[in-house]
Amino acid sequence: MVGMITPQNIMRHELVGLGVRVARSTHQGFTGLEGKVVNETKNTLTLEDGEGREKTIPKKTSTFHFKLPDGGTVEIEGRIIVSRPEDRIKKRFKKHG
Amino acid sequence: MIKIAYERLEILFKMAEEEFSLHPLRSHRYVEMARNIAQKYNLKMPSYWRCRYCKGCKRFLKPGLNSKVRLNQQAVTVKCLECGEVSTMPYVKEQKSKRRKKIEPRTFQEGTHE
Repeated sequence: MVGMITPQNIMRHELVGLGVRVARSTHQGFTGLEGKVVNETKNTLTLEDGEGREKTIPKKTSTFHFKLPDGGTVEIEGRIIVSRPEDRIKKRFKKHG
Repeated sequence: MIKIAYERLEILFKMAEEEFSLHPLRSHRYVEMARNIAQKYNLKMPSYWRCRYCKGCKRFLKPGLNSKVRLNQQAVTVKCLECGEVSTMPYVKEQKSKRRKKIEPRTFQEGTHE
């Protein structure tokens, strides 16, 4: 069952457990952070970096590169995944005009 | 959509199992997230994971570390060592079907001999 995450459904799928890199952020301290997603709330993602520290990053102002279980990477703007993790399954995503 | 929800439950419980030894707080949080998904879309919990979290305090249970699994009075009892909640799952049906399986072929053979 695990490993069904694809670039088409990653916005609706589980982010906990995926590898992630913060590609861009309005706050310079957050750009370039890398690690595994350990927690998700409505407005933030929490990563654990290689040294075991946890970093909480706001979704709204960042762009993330997620590593899929089959090896690919997907770029996602944090702005479109701002919602509670259980609400994302049903959410409709508008294309940015 | 429902299929994705079931996949997410599976992923969350697997992560909870992995993280429990080092970060128990995280695995309790994953159980909470899984329960939120199941409640929102009215899903049944996967049968394998149904007895792996406490019905009282909603924490992840690992037999031997924070829970106690025993067989008594024809039921599996799981005791949560965090809050003391005991949940029982009877296995009377399984016992009866096993007995029936033993008896039925014998009666059938006797019938053919006559």
